Amino acid sequence: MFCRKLLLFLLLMPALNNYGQTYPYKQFTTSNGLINNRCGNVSQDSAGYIWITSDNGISNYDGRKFTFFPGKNSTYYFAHTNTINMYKGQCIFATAGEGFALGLGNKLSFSSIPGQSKSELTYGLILNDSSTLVAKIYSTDLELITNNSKTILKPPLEIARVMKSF
Amino acid sequence: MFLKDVEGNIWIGTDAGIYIYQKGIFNAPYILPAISKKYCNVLKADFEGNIFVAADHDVYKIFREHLKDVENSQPVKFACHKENITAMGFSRNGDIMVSDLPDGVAVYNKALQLKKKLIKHGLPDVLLWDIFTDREDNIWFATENGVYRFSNFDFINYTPPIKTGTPNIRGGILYNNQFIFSNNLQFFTLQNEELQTVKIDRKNANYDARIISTPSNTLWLNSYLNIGVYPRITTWLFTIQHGQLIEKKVIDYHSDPGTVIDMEKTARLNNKEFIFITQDKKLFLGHDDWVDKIQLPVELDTLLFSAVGPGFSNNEFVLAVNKIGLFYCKTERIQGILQLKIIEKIPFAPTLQNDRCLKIITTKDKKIWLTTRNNGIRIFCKENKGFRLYKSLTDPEISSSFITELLYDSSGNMWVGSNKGIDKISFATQNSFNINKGLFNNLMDGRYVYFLKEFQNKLYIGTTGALSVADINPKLSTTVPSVLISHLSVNNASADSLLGAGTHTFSPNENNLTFEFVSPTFIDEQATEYQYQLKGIDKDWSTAAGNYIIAYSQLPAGDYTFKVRAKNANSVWSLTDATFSFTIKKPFYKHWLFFLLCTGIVAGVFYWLYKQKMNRIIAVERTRRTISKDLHDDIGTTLSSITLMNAVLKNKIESQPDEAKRMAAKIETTSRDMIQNMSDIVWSINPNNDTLEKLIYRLQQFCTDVFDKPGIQYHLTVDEEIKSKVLSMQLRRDIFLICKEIINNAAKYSKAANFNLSLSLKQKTIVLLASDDGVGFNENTISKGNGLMNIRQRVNTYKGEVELTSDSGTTWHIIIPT
Repeated sequence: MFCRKLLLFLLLMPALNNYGQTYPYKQFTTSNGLINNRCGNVSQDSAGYIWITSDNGISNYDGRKFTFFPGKNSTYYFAHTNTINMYKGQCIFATAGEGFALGLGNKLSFSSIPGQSKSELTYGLILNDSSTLVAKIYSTDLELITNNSKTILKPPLEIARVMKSF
Repeated sequence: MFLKDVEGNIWIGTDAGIYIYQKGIFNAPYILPAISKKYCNVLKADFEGNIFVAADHDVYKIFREHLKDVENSQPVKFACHKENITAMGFSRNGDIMVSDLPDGVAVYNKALQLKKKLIKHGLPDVLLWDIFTDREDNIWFATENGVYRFSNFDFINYTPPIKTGTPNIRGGILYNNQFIFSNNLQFFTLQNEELQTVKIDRKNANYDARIISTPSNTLWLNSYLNIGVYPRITTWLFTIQHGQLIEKKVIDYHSDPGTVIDMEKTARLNNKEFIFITQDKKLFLGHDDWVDKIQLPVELDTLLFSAVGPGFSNNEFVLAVNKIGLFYCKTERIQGILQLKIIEKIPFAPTLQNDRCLKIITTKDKKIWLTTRNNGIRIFCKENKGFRLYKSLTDPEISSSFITELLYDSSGNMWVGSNKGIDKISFATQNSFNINKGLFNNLMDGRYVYFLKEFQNKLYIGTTGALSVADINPKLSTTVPSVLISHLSVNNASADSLLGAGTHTFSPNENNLTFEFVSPTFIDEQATEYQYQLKGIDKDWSTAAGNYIIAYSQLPAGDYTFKVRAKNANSVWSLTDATFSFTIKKPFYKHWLFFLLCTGIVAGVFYWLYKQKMNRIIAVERTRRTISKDLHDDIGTTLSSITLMNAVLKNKIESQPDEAKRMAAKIETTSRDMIQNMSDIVWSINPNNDTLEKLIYRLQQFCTDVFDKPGIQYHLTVDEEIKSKVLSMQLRRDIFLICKEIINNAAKYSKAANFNLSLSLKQKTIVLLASDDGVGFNENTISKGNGLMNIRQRVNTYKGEVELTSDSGTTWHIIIPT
C-alpha cells in the first residue's frame, strides 16, 4: 500500500509544476474533526447528514462539525470494503465486531446481526424487512439470515473487495 | 459489494463476476456472462436506477429497463481505463464519474462518451475510494487524505504560476475568439480548458500587462523601455498569431512621464475610435493608427477624470470627473482638432464628491450605472428634462459598497464584482429586480474581483488569486435544505432527550432554554442562514442570520412553540420548520385555585371579625338586659316592697307600735338583703372577678356571714386547676347564685353541724358537690319556694344535671358544662 502511494506521489510530482487548473474543492481532514484521514465511503441519510466511514470508525458531518461515533471496540470498521446501502432513510454500515450500525441525523445505533457473534467481521450487508444478507470478511460464506435462521448461500464465493487490488 | 436495484434484484460483486439473486429470491444466482470471472470491484446504481459495474479496468452499464429481466440484459462496456477502477459516481444531469488512475477522474456523459477528464493537477488526490453526489449536487471524494467536496465541476480556477506574490489577474479581454488575460507579467490564453502562455519576443522591455483591445480588434500594450531618467512611454500594437504576440505598430503619445493606460477605463466611440484614461487621469482618444489628445472645454480643462464609459450611441460617452459629477459628452472634430462637447451634466451629491468612481456602464434602457469605492452603485436614468438619480444600491442590498466591476451580459443580467465576491442582478421587469448575492464565494475563496467578462456562455472572473471560469447561467441546485434542532438545554443542563415529537412541560423555574439548530447543507456552509421564532414571545421570525444558537431566559409561564427554518447558499429555504413545543407551568401562587383560596380566607377572616363584633354587641346587649332585669327584679321589687312597708309602718307607728317595730325590723332585713343582692350584681359585672378563684373567695365570705350565726362548720374544697378557669359573666353568676341558694338553705333549714362544698373540673364540666349532716327534707312535702326551682332552672340553661338526695342530710350533685 505504502509503495503504491509513493509511486503515485512521484508520478504526481512533475504535474505540480504545470499550470494550475483547479476545480475548487474543500478538503476535510482530521484537522476539521474527521477521526481518520483514510476514508472509505461517503453517504447521506434522509435528514441530510453526510456519513463518512474511515479506518477508525464512522463519523458524520452536519455542515458545521464532524461527530465521531465510537463503538465498544477501538476499531470497528474496515475502510474501502463496503458500499453503503440505505434502509428506511438510514445509512447501514457493516462493522467489524459491532454487528451493523444504522446512522440517521445525529445518532448512530449499533445492532448485533442475528445469529452472529460480535467478533465476526462483516463487510457486506443488506437489510430487508424480513431478512438480512451478510457477507463476512476472511470467509467465503454468504449468509442469509431470516428470523434468526441462517442459510449459507451457494456457490461459495469471495466478495470483491477493492482493498485486494492495492 | 452488495446492491439492491430498483426491481428488487440483489447484486453481489465478487472476485469472479457478478451474481444476481433475481427479485431478491435466493435460488441459484444468475451470473452475468459478460463479466464472469472478472474482478468486480465497484457496483453502483445511478440516479435513474441504471446499474454500473467496474470489472477490472472496464466499466459496464446495465440499463434500468433491462433490470426486469436481467438474464436478457445487455451490459454495455463504455470505458477501459489503464488500471483497476476504485470508485464511481454519478451526477444528476447523467454524468458518470469514474476513477482513472493514474491520471484523475474521467467524466462520461449520458451517451457514454468521454466528456472530459478531471486531470490530476486539478484534483487534490487521484486515489479515490468513493465518489458520492449529495442532494444538493455537491460531489464528495473519499480518499486517503480525507474527504473532498466539489460544489461545481463546471467552475474552474486557472492559476498561472508565479515566483512570488499573488497571481493578480487584473486584465482580460476577448480577442479573435480567444480569451486573453494577464497577471501583470505574462499573457495567457485558454484553449480546451487548458492554460497556455502567450510568448512575447521582445528583449529589454518591461511590459505592463494591461492591454486594451480596440474596436478594430487590435491589442494595445504599454511597455517601458528603460532609457533615461523617465521611462519613455510607448504603446505597442500587436496581433496574436499562433500563440505569439506579433508587433504591428508602435504609437508614441505624450502623456506625463510614468503614466500608463488605465486599461479598464476605456469607452468605445465607434468602429475605429475609443476614449481612454491614463493613470494620471488624463483623457485620450485612441485609434489603431494614432493617439490624440482631446481638446477640453474650459470647464473641464484642469480637472481629473476617474472613469469613462460608453454612451447610448456612437461618439457619445460618459465621463466621471473627480469631485464634480458625471458628464454626458460627445466628440466633434472642428478644423482638424478633436473637441469635447458637454451634452448633459449630472452633478454629484455631497456623498459622492469625496468618493472615487470606478466603472461606468450604460444599458439598453438608457440608464447609467456608476460604481464607487464607498457608495456602492448609483443608477441614473434619462428623462426628457435630463438625467436623474434612479436608484442607489449599497451594502447590505448588495454584497459590498466597494464595487470594482460591472458586466451587463447578453441575457440582460447585471453582474456586480466587488471586494466581497459576485452578485447577479436579474431583472424581472424593467423596474424590479432580484439580487443573488455572494455567488461562487465558496469557489473563489472570497477573492477580490478585478474584472468580469462574458465569452461563449461562460463568465470569466479575474481575481486576486486566479482566473475563474463559470457557466454564465449556473444551474443552481433547487434542493430544499432540511433543518433540525440539534441541541436543547434547560437551565444549562442538556435536555437533548426531549427533542422529538410531543409537547413537554417544564416547572416554573425550568424557564431558561437554549436551542441549537443546524441545517445539513453543503453548498457553502458559511452562507447558511437561519430564522427562528418562539411563538408565545416573538411576534415574528428573527432576521435571517448565520447564528445557530439562541437562548431564552426567564420565560414566563405559558405555552410555547419554538420553530426554526434555514436558507442555504443558493437562497433556498427549508420547507418544514423544525419545531419544539413546550409549556412552562404557572407557579402555585399564580394558579386560579390558589387565588380563589386566598379570596376565601380573606373573606372568611372578615366575616369572622364581623361575627365577633356582632357577638360582642349582642353580648353587651344581653348583659345590659340582664343587669336591667336584675336591677328591676331584685332591687326594684325590694325597693317597692320597702316603700310599701314604710307606708304601712307610718300608719302603725302610733296605733300599733309593736307591729310597727316588727315592720321596721323587716324593712331592715329586706334592705340588708337588697344590699347583699346589689353587691352580688356589682360583683358579677366586674370583669376582675371572671376567674373561679374570685368566685370561691366570694363564696367563702358568704359562708362566713351565713354559717357564723347558726354555728355550722363549713368546708370549701376547690381543685387547684379550676381556680384559674375563666368563666363567662353569666355562668359565674349562675354558679354563684346556685351555691348561694344551697348555702342559704343549709344555713336556714338543715340544722346541720357541718356543711361541705367542693368545686372541681372534670372533662370540661364543672362539678359541684354540696352536702350537710342536717335533718334533710322531703322535696315533695316541703312548701316549694323559688330556691329549688331556681337551682334546677339555672342548671338546665347549661344542659347540666342536678342530683339531689335528702335523707339524713342533704347532698347536691350538680354538673354544668362550660
